[in-house]
Amino acid sequence: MVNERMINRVSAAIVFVAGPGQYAISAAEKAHILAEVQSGHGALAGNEPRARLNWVYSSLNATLPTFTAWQGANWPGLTEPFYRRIDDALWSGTNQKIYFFRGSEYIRVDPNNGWKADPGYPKPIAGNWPGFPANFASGIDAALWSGTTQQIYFFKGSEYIRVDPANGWSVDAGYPKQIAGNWPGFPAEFAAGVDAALWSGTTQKIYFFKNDTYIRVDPSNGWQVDAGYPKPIAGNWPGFPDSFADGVDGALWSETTQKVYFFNANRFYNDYIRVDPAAGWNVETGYPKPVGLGWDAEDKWRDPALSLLGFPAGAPGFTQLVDSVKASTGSQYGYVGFFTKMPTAWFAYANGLNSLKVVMRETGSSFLNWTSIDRVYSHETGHIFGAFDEYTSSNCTCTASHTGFFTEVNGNCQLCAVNPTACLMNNNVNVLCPFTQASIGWKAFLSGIDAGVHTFANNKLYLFSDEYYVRYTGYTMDPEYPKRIAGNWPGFPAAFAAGVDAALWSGPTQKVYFFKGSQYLRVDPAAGWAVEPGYPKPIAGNWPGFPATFAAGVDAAVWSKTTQKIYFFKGSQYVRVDPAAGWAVEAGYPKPIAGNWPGFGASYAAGVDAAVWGDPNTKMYFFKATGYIRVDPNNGWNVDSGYPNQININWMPFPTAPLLRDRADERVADVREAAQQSRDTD
Amino acid sequence: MDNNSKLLVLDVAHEKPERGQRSAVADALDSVMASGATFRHSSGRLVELDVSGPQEARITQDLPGARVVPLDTDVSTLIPDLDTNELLFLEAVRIRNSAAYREEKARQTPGDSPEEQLMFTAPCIPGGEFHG
Repeated sequence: MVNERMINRVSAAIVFVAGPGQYAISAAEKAHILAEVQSGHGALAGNEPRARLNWVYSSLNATLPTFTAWQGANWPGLTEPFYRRIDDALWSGTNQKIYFFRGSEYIRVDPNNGWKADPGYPKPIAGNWPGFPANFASGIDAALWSGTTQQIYFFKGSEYIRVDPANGWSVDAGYPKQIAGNWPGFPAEFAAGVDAALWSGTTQKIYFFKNDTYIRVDPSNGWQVDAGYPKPIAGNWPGFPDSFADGVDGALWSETTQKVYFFNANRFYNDYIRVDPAAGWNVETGYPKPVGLGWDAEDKWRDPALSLLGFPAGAPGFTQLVDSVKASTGSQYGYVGFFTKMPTAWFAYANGLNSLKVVMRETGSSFLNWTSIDRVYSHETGHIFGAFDEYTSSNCTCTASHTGFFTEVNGNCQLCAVNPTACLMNNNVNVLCPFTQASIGWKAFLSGIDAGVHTFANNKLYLFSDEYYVRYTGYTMDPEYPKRIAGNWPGFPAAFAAGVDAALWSGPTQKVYFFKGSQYLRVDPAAGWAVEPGYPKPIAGNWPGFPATFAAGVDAAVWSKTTQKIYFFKGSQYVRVDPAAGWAVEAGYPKPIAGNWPGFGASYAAGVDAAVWGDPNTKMYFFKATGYIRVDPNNGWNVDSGYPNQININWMPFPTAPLLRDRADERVADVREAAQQSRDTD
Repeated sequence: MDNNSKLLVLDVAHEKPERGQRSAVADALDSVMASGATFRHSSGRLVELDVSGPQEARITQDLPGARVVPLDTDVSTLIPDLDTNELLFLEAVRIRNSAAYREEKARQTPGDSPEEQLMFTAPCIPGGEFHG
C-alpha cells in the first residue's frame, strides 16, 4: 500500500549500513540516530493527534566486511571533493597527463594507466607548483595548456601566470600579469576573470569560457580574439545540455583521445561531457556522466547491505524489506531509512513522493555531531507521505499538484507563494502548514464523518468531512476524490462549503438537502446539482414540527427507501418526518435513540455524526467518530453483527481510534436495549 | 525523565515471524490502541506511552503479563532476552527523555544547523522535485 496518508501505525525500519574503518557506526551513534528519529517522529505526531500516528521501529544492522568507496567511478581514483566539483582541468603535452584543480589542491591523472589518478594525490598546489603566488596557490579559476608554446597558463581573477614545464614547471618571471592588455581583444568581462580555458589540438586555438559565453583566441594570429566573439555557448556547441550551456567549470583537450572534455557540477556532483571534434564537435551519446558516481553511489553499499539482510538488490529489495516489517508489526504504512557514512550523491534525500526510502549520510566523522537529524528526517518523512519541498532551491512551483490522498497544489512554495509561511517542508520548523497538511493527508477525514448521503439521481454515495467530500460508486471510492465542496457543488454558500452537518436525499422530491447550523439548502440534481434559488433557509418554520433543539441544527439525516420517511438525529434523540404527510414531524417525536434503534451501543445511542442509506445492499450506515455501524432495515432494523467497525480501510484510509463500543458495558447495554426496543423503527 | 511517559513491557512471544506474517507484538499493539492510551513509539516488546489509570488497567487486563513501568526502569530485569533492536530503542528513549537532550533541543533553532543550511541548497528528491 502506498504511503498515502501519514496516519495510524507506521513501520519505521532503520538500517545502519556500516563498514570497516571510517565507515563504522558506533553503538552510541546508533542510539543517537534513533533518538533523533524518534524526536522528529514524535514532533510530527504531535502536530495532529487526530492522525493517531504511531511509529514502530525495526533497527537493522548491515555491516559490510569490505567497502571501497567510489568503485565504478568514471574517473577512478579521484577524491570525493573532486567528484563534487572542480575549478578547472588541463591536459599537459609535456607529460601527457591530466590535472584537476580544486581549491588549494590538485590531482594528476594518467590516461596511459587506465585514466587513474596517480598515487599520492591530491596534493597541495603550494610547494608542488614552484613560484605560485599565494592567491593562485589557494585556488585557480582556470588552467590552460597551450600546444603552441608548450606552456601552461593559470588564471585567477583578473590575473594570470605562465608556467614552463621545460623550466622545472616554474612560474615564469614577471608574473602574475593582468589579463587586460596582455590578451589582446579580450572583452572586459573576460579580462575580469574566466571560468575555464581550453586549447584544442584540432584547431590549435584557445577557448575561454565565462558564464554562458565564450571567446576564441588564435595564437597564430597574434593571440587575438577571433572576430565575432564572444558568442553564446548555446547553439555553438552542439548537443550541450542546458546546464553546460549555462556555463562550465572546466575544460580540457585530451591528446590521447583527440577529444574535448567539459566539466560542470550540478547541484549534487561533478558531471562531464565529451565532445568529438571529428564528429562535428558534437557531444557524444550517453553524456553527461558523473565524474565519480551519481545517484547510483547509493547502490554500491545499499545492495550489498540488502543482501546481508536477506533481500534482493534495488527497489525490489527495499520494497520487500518495508513490506516485511510492515506485515510483522501490523502497520498500515512503512518505509526504510538507511543511515551510512558511505558515499551518496546527496546527504539526505527521499526517493520520491509517497515512496519508501530515505537515505541519510554522515559526511563528517560521527553521527553524534549531527544534531538536526530529527528535523531533517522529519522533512524527508514528509516526502515519504507526499509533501512537496517548499524552499527556494528546490525549484518548487505553486501550480504543481500531486495526488496522495488529497490532490493539492504546492501553494507554499517560496518561489511563488504570495505569503509563504514557516513550515516543515520550507524551513524545517515543527509546524505543518495547511498545504503540507493536505499533502500528507491531514486536511480532513481525520476524526469523523460530518455527513453522508446516497443520491439516487446518480446512484452515488457521498461522505463529507470539513471542506472535503468523497464519492462512491457502490462502495468503491471514485478516483480523484476527496474533492473540495467549494467549486464542485455549485451555489454553496461559504459556510456550507466549509463543511456541512448533515445531508439528506429525499425520494419524494428527488432533491438533496444539506444542513449547516440552523440553516439548510436544497440542491436539484436535475438542474446541474445547483443550490436552488432562495436557499439557504432557516430550518425553523420550514420543517414543520421540528423541536427547537433540532431547528438549531441537526447531527445527521437519512431518508429510508424502506419506509419512505426521513430521520433526523440530534444528540441522543431523533425525529421522524413523513414527506407524505406535509413533511411534518410525526407525533410522539422526538424519541431517544436508545431503545428505539436496536443494537445501538451506548455511544451510538448518545448521538451519531452521520447517517447514510446504502442502496447497493439496502442497509443504513451510522458513523460515529472513527467507527461506523450497519443497520439492516430488512432484519428488524438491527445492527449487523461485527459492528462497530473502523472506517479505516472499510471506507478509506482513516485514523483508527478505539472503537466506541465500550466493551465493558456494551454487551450489557445491548441486552438492555434489545429488551427495550420498540417496533417504532420498523 | 520528567514527562508523563511510561514504558509498557509486553510479555508476548518474541519469535521473529516468517516473512510476511504478523507478529504477536502487532496484535498487542492493537490492544494498546484499543485502550485509548496515546503511544507514538514502540519497538519489539516495548512501547513508550502516555496512559491513564483505567487505560493501564485495561491494557494489563487484555495483555496478560504486560507491565507499565517508569521509563528509567531496568527493563533487562523484566525481559532477560532483550534483543539488539529493543536495547537500542531503550537507549534512544533514555537519551530523548533526558534533561540534557531536551535542553539541547530547546536551544536549537529549526533550519539553523549546518546540515539544514546545506539541505536548503538543493532539492532532496533525486533528479528534482517529483522524480522518484
